[in-house]
Formats: sequence, C-alpha cells, structure tokens
Amino acid sequence: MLPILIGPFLILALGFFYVTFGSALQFEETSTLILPFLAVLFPIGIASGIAMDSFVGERTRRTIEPILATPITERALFVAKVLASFLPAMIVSYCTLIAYSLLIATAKASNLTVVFSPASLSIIFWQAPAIALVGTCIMIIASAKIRDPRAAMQIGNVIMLGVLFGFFYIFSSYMSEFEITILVNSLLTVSALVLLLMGNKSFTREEILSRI
Amino acid sequence: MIRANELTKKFRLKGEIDIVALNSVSIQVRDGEVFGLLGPNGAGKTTFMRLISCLLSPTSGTLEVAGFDCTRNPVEIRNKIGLLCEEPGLYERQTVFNNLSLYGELYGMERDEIEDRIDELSALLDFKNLLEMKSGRLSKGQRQRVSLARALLHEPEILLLDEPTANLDPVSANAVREAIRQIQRQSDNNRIVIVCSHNLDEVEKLCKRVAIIDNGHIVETGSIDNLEHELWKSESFEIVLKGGTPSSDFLEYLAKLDVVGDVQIIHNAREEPIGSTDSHLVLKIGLRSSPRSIDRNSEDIIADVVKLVAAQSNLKIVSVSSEKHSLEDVYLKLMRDKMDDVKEFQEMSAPGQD
Ligand SMILES: Nc1ncnc2c1ncn2[C@@H]1O[C@H](COP(=O)(O)OP(=O)(O)OP(=O)(O)O)[C@@H](O)[C@H]1O
Ligand SMILES: [Mg+2]
Repeated sequence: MLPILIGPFLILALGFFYVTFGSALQFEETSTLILPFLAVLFPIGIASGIAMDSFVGERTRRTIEPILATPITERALFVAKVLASFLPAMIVSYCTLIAYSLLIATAKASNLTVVFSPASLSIIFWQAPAIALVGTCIMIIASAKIRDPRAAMQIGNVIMLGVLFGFFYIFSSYMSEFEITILVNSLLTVSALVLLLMGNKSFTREEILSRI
Repeated sequence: MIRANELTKKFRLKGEIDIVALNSVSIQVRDGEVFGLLGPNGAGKTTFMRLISCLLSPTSGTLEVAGFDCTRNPVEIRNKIGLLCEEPGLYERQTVFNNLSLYGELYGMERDEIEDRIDELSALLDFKNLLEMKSGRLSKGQRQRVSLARALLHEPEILLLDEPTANLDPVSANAVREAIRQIQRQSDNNRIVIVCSHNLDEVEKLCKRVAIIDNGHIVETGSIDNLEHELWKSESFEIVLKGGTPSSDFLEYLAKLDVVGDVQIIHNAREEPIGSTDSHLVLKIGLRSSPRSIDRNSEDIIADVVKLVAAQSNLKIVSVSSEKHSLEDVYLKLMRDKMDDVKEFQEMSAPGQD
C-alpha cells in the first residue's frame, strides 16, 4: 500500500517544485525530460512493492494454504498475482504522470512537445509496462521460490538496481536513437513473456506451500 | 471413501538428509465416518491432510479420495474437500463476508447460493453479527469459526480438520466441537470427517475410529474401544475382601475362566483401618491377554467376576478398584511401547496391514 500512496505524492511534489522554481533555476527543460524516466521507474517500483507486500502478507497470515486447497488452477493463481501487482501499478502511474504533465503544462513551466518524440512515447507506453512486468514476474517467482523474506527483499533491490542502470541508458539516448529504443523494448517484452511462461511452469502448489 | 496404500512422503532439502514425513501409511476411512488422527508434534498428521487435499503429491504409494486418484484427478478431489488448516488464514483487511464469498467464487458457486450458504453457516456457527467486521479484528475463537464456515461453504463430501480447537478457550473449543457434531448430524451422513488433534478427550468425543501416527508410521488404527482392549494385555483389577479367605477351589475356578489371566492373593496388602479387627486381603485378578477375540468390554467382565466373588458366602467385598482407560491412557501406553521397541512397530505398519 505504501508505494501507491507515497509515489504519486513525491512525483507531484517534484512537479510543484519545477513549477515554482523551474524558471528561476533554469531547468524547465528537465521537468519534461524527466517524464519518460518517471514513467519507467514509477510502475516497476510500485508493482514490485505490491508484489512483495502481498507475499509477505500471505506468509505472515498463512492465507495461502486454504487458497491452494480450492480447485483454482496454478496458472490462474500466478496470473492473478501478476495482474494484482501490475494493473494497479500501471493505473496509478499513468494517472500520476498525466497529473504531472498537466501541472507543468498549465503552469507553462515547460514545453511538453519536447517529450512527444517517437522514442520517448515508446518508452512511456511500451518500455515502462514491459519493465514493470519483468520486475513483477521476477518478484513473484522469487517469492514463490525463496523462503527467507530478506532474500526476497534483496532480489527486489537487485531489480531496482537494474532499473537504475536502465535509467542511465534512457537518459543518455531516449531523445535520439529510436531504433535502439525499439530494440531494447522488444528485448524487454520478450523477456517479460519468457518470465511469464517460466513463472507459470514453476508455480506448483507444493513449491508455493513450502516457501510461502 | 479414502484409501491410502503404502503412502510415503519425503521432503527433499538441499544439503540435508531427506525428511520422511509419512512412511508407507495404509489407512481406509469409510463414508460417513468421523475419523481421528492422533500423534505427537511432527508425526506427519498435517502432511497426511495435505496429501488428501492434493496440496502435496506423494513420493510413492497410492491415495484414492472419493474414487479419484490424487495424482491423476486432483481437481475433482479438491472440489470435494473442505480443509480447515492449522491457522485460520483469513484476509485481515477484508470483512468476514468478503473472506467467505471469495471462497464461494473460487469453488464456482453462484452469487445467490453463496449468500444463502453464508447466511446458513453464520447462523449455525454463531457469527452472524460479525459478517461485516474486518476479520483482523476477530478473536481466535471467532476466526476459527469463520474458517470452519469457509471449509464448509461448498458442502464438501470430505471435511479435514487440522487441530480445530487448538489455542481456544474451553468454551470456544466446545462450541466448535458442538458445531462439528451438529454439521455431521445435519448432513446426509455420508460425509467423511477427519479430525487431527492433540486433544485426546476431543477425539474421544468426536470420533469412533482413530489412527495413531508417530514419526510417519501408523502405530495403531482401530475403534477407540478396540484400542482400549489392546491395553488389557497386562491389566488387572483388585477386589479388597474382608473376613474370609477364598477357597482354593474357587480360586482355581476363577483362574480357569477364559477372560481371566491369573489370580493372586495379597495378604495385608493395604494398611488396616485403625481399630479394625478383621484383616483385609486383596484378590488381584489379571485379565486375559488376547482381548481382540473377546467381544465385550472390560467393565462388563469385571462386573461378572465381582458377581462370582460376591456369591461366595464366606467373602465380603469391601471395594473393587479398576482403572477405566481413556483414549489418553491408550495413547500414552502406545507411545511408551513404541519408545520401547521401535522396530516392532515398523513391522506392524509394514505392507499388508489394514
Ligand atoms: N514443507 C516441508 N518441508 C520440509 N519438511 C517438512 C515440510 N512439511 C513438513 N515437514 C516435516 O515433516 C514432518 C511431519 O510434519 P507435519 O507437519 O506433518 O507434522 P504434524 O503431525 O502435523 O505435527 P504438529 O502436531 O506439530 O502439527 C516434520 O518432521 C516436518 O519437519
Ligand atoms: Mg500439524
């Protein structure tokens, strides 16, 4: 729950910061340049946060055993877990980003058209969900495989580290090289699909029961 | 019908030796039966329940539940099973009603059906007033009743109760037990209920047949009465007499009865009451060691023997003392015996039993 509440607040606070001090400090441009970056970082942060929270909850409250005793299929359970983290994260992220864009646009703090290059659009609407999906799948597979919640937490940190590396890449190239962006997006999408299949396969009742 | 045949479950842990949670267990539970599963911590009771509900798959052996094989038709089995786990496992941020209706949906029930069932069960288990409360606020006993309702929601043919009254105060525990009995009375009586518990008194009250399990082995299965018979092997009772001595003919006659093992006379075995002029003597009568062949319980036999003694005109009975064995005695004795000779029990639960 925490990331959902704090995330949008921080981003909108950032927006206000730009609106208020942007012209004085001469970084109006960054307020728009940062948009694709936020679009990537925000969903995966929230999604893996929710995923981890949901498994910690299942573990401490022992709610998983009765669920596993019902006729629900393992696939349905896995997909439900992924969607329950992924969808709210995407919805909250896009709403927040729209609010952020409106904020800086109405305050004329920056020229939003800078951001509407094909590369940055593909980052916002393709790469961001793909990365969030990859992060969520890793998180959920890890939770179902790793017993120790601290180990799961560390995996979460590694995911965030990967995203940060991704951020440096985006920051350096998203405005110019559309082809590279498309390539990276495709790679991410493929890995998301592979992870979905993997998770689907490894998500057996016995495994989940002994780990969670 | 639940039929386990040489069912074995091993847990494989990396870098450690395998844990054999169940070792070639063969049990049959018939339709309509309330069956008790007893055993110390780590005996394998929960593992057995999880195998029946297809949460775990067996390492070897077969398990048939309601006519389905647990490895080939797990979905069919899950549809027929209601499992009450060791922990209530309710979603704390959800209301009691939502907790229950989620499960109704998972079992593919219709909306109206779910509401009717929740209505019915909350009345039966006495938590109608809690339906709109967040389940995180409930007490342990209330949680337990809600999770019992959850296990019963889809009217399962087989109800598995893993320590249904652990951690409950006597009043709540009794309420839960009463509910279980009532449910069993209401059903068309074909439902199998398996209760696993450390509370021997409870099992004795609820179940006709029990299995005692230890370290993955079945130590004993049978009706509680039969298990009690088992104990006769070396059991005896005493009759305190006053005023006379039994004739040797009479003693011989007693010893020849097919229910009696041996007869002993102990003089001055008890402290004399102050001022007593008559000396007491004690007749110690051992019961026959092959109880299964005798189709009566020990109380009746003792009563008969006492009648015979009383009929002797020269004997005056002061008191009769015999232990009445509860399931607890049976259990403790079996466990003690087990410690004494582990090997023998391995043979007893070896293939071909039951
Ligand atoms: N997922 C698992 N992984 C490894 N070992 C396990 C697992 N589940 C159970 N065991 C082991 O199997 C044995 C039997 O455990 P089980 O939970 O069935 O006992 P139990 O009879 O229910 O005990 P209790 O009365 O304490 O609930 C124990 O030694 C336990 O450590
Ligand atoms: Mg147990």
